[in-house]
Amino acid sequence: MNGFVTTQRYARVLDLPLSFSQTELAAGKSIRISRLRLERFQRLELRSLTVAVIAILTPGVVPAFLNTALSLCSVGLYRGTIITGPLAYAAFTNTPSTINPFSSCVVETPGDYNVIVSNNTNNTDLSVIATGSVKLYY
Amino acid sequence: MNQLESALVIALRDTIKWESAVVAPESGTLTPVVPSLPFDSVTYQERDRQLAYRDLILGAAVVEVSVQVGDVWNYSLPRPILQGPAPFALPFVGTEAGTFSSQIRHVTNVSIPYDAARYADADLYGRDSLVYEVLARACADTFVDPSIPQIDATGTVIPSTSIWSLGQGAPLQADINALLPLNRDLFKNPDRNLADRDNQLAGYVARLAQALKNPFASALRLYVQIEAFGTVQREPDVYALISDNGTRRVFQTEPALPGANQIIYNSMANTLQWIRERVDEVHVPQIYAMVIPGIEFGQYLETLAEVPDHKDAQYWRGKAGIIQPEGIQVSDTDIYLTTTNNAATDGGYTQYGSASLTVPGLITFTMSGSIPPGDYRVSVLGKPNSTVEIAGAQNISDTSGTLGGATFDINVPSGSVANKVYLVEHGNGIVYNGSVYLPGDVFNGTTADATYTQYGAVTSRIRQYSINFLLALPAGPWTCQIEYTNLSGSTDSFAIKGEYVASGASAVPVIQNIAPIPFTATNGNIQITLPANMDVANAAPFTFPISWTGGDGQFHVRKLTFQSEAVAGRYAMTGTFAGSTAQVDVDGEDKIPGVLRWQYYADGSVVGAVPFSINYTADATLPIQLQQVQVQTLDNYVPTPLGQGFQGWRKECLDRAERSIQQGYAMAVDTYGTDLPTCRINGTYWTPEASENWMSLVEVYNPRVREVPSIALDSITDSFQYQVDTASVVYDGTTYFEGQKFYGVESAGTVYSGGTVHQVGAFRKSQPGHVGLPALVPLGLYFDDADKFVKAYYDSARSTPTLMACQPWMIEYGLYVAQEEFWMPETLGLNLPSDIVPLGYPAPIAFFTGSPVVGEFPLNVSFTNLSTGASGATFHWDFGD
Repeated sequence: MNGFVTTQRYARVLDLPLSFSQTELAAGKSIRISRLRLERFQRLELRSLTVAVIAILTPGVVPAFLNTALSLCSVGLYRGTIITGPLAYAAFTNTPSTINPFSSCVVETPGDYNVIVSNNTNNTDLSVIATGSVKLYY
Repeated sequence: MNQLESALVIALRDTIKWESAVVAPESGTLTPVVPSLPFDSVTYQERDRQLAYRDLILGAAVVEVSVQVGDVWNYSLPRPILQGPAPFALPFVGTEAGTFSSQIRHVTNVSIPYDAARYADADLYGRDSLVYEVLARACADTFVDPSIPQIDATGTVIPSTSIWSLGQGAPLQADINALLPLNRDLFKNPDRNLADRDNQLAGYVARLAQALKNPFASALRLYVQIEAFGTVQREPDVYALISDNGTRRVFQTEPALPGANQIIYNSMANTLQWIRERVDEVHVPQIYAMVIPGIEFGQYLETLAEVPDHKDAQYWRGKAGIIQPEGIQVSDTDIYLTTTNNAATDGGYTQYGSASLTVPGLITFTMSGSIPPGDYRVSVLGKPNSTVEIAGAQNISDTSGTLGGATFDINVPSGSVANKVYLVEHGNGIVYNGSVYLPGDVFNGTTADATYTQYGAVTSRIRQYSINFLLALPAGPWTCQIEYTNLSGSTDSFAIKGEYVASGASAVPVIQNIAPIPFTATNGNIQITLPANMDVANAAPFTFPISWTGGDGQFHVRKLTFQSEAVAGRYAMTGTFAGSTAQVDVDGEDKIPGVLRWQYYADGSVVGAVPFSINYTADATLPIQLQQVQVQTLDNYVPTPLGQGFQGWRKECLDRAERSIQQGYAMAVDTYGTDLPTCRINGTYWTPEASENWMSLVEVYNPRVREVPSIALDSITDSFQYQVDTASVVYDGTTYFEGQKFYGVESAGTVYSGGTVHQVGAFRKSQPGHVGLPALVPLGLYFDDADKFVKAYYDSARSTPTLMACQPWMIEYGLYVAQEEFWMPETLGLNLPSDIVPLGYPAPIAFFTGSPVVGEFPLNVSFTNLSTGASGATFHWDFGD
């Protein structure tokens, strides 16, 4: 591969959108919105990740956090299932949240990587959207 | 410098033509003329042609120096076109030269032919030697590595004189031809032509020497190195010319960054001035020189007359640190635990290699250090593990042994009885603590009475009978294995009994002593029992005594291993830190490491010792190892003035550091060739030791990649850089004070004294809070999901260092992450998110939702209060219109 974006090389760069349209996410639940299997010699670059809460569906409660480090709800890229250890994440507090776009998250080791949206409360149902973009070099 | 100051104005031609030159002898001598022999014009012709060739050598030297000037200062000086290959080192024989001045004693009408050799040729020889030597001396005075050698390095033959370009010359391209009349012009015209060539070359050299004397007048680029107290403080910076108004020539490092360091050359006053990044620090202009004093005491700025070597990662770390973008920063503190199987841990069950919570319970990590009020993140590297490994020495029977094992005492003499369980062998028995014990009896010893006596005439011996382990495991089926060996004597088997004793219940045999376990290895080598099944009734603590009931030799338990079939577990944990609590509720998979993260607001200071407690409340399914703990602060970046918006700069520096490391690694691979050491273990497996070995390989040509704390007093390494941690240290006879850096020098040895230093590096060993940050990873290293081990697909040759997001298993395997200067803000913007202040007393954050938001009049809207930090507050509502 040379340093130029040729048609030959361009064909091996895949832009994958991550899209989680407005969905009810019950208290304490998490949903895997994408599973990326990275094979040897491939490279994954997470370019953006955004989460927003559209509505609180459980009125009249003060949210109690299951994981205080992850705020109301979050979206993250994970290797494994321990949700407090994301490789990159955005957590919704009062406004929609996005990862720092200047700090791209690069993965080159083979394995299964999950993008998970989670409701981090144990008492509040949420209506959530999440979007993102992944560049896959294969 | 004593070089030529000027040259007469002559029009430089772009070519020193080859003409009829013939290669001159390498000895530097011309073909001799012997006046006593018959006249032969060919000899004279040959000498002139050799002189013409020497001009070509001189032309090549001019080109060579001109190229070097271009390399360093990035501007192009006029240089002649070469009409063929010629060496650029001019040979010189002092006796061949006539005068070293502008004079050329051309032949006249009254001269004899021999004068052409005696005077004119000698003068031409001296002239080109002088022109060359002036150029070589200018190079020697300026460049660290001059491109052309001197011919009179001692200065004893060729005088230090300003040069000129007025030899009586004209471009004639004449040649001595035997067919032409033997008159003055036959000899003079070729010499005039040679003199003209020398004039041309003198003109070129004059221009070059002026540029070498004062590169600031025309340079487009400067390499500047900062020194303090004789030590290089930073690697050379590149300063590029950013403006030139005819008087002030301004060079700036990193032209893309506003307010970066500048050097200003005033061409009228011939002064240099340095302006440091913060615009209030301006240096008084100095008479220009290659080295000028800096702003601080003891500081010097050196303009390098060479292209510096390629930059290492630490250099780019320094570059990245120039800019502080805005946003939320996560910073490391010096409060952490890299291992937990030590006295810093209280609670849980200590496993082989780390602390653990095998069942719900409480564990406390106490770390030394102090914290002020603020926001904190505590990260723990956890590894759910269905394999519970208990080191032999982790028993409750005061029994220890080699390599963390437990060694059964044999032939215990009177006076050495301890708090252990003993068995009487042979003889008539013993008397201990007022009781008689016959052979085969078991008794509990106590240190309060360490002696025993023999009971009868035939001597008995006592030996340790059992060791007891205290443990708790999730309820369900488990298997148990013992790693054991024999340490003295010889035996072919041991009769061992292992029992599960739940609290208040009878002992349940797990390992039966009816079938002895074989020992077929060499003493000290480990063997493992077959898995024995056991059912754990509940998650309450139980004891697990292991008893020796037969077999010669000395039984040693290295490790107990319990194994369940659980593959996943839930971990609901409350963490307490600095008086605040925070929650974690996560799911884990067997043997896959993960990072547990809590965030706190500490409303008071903690001084001296910082405890962090975890109360694990659910579920008792899969034990979890807690391997490392790290405390980080969460704060705002205070951005560098005018540095906002340069978020990408840090990433750029990181990318350049990666390239630099990769180049160095490729060089190391080439250098080692077939002797390249392997970093893999037993085929493809990888270990934390393999990570260190690989980093050593990375550092062969990148000596400032790895930060290493607390360097031993005799371990200074050549070319590595060190920074003083204590008040001062002494190395190589020089005292360095806290914060100062110095390089290891081979001639200065490996020893320093008077304090401690750490090795400076752009990457540090990863800790739990670093998950997701850029980590330096060998290409092809991966976590094998089937084997649950880390493996290297490639061996060293292709294990190219690659930057990628740090994953939890990389922390367990001791890989290195980029230092903080390379990091991005985790969250952009200047406001702390409310989620990092879950408890404590931060400012309240108002947050309401209302619904419905659309409807017909009159519309009843229900508001939900989601404010945080507002407990007990009253609210003021203002709906405007």
